[in-house]
Amino acid sequence: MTRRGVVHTLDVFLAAVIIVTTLLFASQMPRERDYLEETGIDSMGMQALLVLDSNGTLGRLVDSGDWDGLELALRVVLPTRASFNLTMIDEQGTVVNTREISNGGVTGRRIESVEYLLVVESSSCPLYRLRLQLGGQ
Amino acid sequence: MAGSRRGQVLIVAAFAISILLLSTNVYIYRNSRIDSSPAYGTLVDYAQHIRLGSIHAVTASLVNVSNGGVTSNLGDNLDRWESFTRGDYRFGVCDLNATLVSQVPYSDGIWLDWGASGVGVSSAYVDFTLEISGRGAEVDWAFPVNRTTEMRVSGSYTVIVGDQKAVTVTMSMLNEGSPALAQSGTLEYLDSGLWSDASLEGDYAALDYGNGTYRFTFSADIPGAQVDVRMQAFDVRGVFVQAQEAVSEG
Repeated sequence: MTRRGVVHTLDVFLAAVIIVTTLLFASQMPRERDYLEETGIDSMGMQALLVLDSNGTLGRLVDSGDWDGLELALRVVLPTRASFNLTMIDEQGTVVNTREISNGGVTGRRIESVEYLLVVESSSCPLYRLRLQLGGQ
Repeated sequence: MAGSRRGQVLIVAAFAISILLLSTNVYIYRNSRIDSSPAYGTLVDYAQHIRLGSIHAVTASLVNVSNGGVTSNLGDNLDRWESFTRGDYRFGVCDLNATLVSQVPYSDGIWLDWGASGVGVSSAYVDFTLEISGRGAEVDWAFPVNRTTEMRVSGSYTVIVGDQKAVTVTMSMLNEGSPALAQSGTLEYLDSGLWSDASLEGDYAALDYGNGTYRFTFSADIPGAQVDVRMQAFDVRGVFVQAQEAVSEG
């Protein structure tokens, strides 16, 4: 009688272990795809740079050193609630922007950084790495 | 005996519940992957920006080569671009490979045809493959990049008196087969074996239709039954192109 009770207890315990293990495994599964889970502000920044680059505007502004024009273009394509700071680095790793390209510093609860590889459509084919830091809610 | 069977039923039921839970989870997971989640969008944006850079690199090289640079500059620029992208590990290893098209009429990815057929072509053609792997991201994308600036020249003349001819030339500029604007252009005509600038003629006029088509008129003393005209121009990207045509009376 007692032995049957012990066996029942073990059965129930084993069943519970199986279900709990399954639940734990199942809860882990969606997390595996979270490594890329980046929402909002950085995606927005990447799309803003893509928009400017798609017609060659970004390359022209960077190549001509038109920092005012670049800042203005970013103010237009980025939402007003986003703060930004753009740094341009050439192929040799030297920062090329001679002044800060920003709308007043990066502020906000969330701060993200986007890197963009840029090729300019000019005869010497210069390459730049753009680092866009973004801040927002 | 009955107790043992009940225990087995319990275990089997537990397994069944587990399989049900896992199946449901896998089903939900697979369905959620079909949605364009922000993570997927971010990866697409990343691949798209590499493609844009590749297009710009090919265009920049065409600008260089069409303006007198050596053909090998296309390959050199693409080598630089490939190694530049290889240093970016945002989604794992980014492996971009460029293959210069060498099928006729291309040679090392370049085709410059500035002959006397009334059509001038400056073109670059490269096949790219982009592979991104690691950190869970898997991209395997092949895309061709063909940048072509084409110019079409046609025209006619009417005899004013003697060798004095009123020449009309129409030029169309095309980028990748679509009408495109020209940045600047020079029209010349062949006079006694020498090219003369048509804009120096007193009655020279140029009309921009605003849709990539331009009309030029001038009159000059040109002996012969045909007038050889040559148009040289740059598109807005800076690609140089030239076309030559023998204009007849019409």
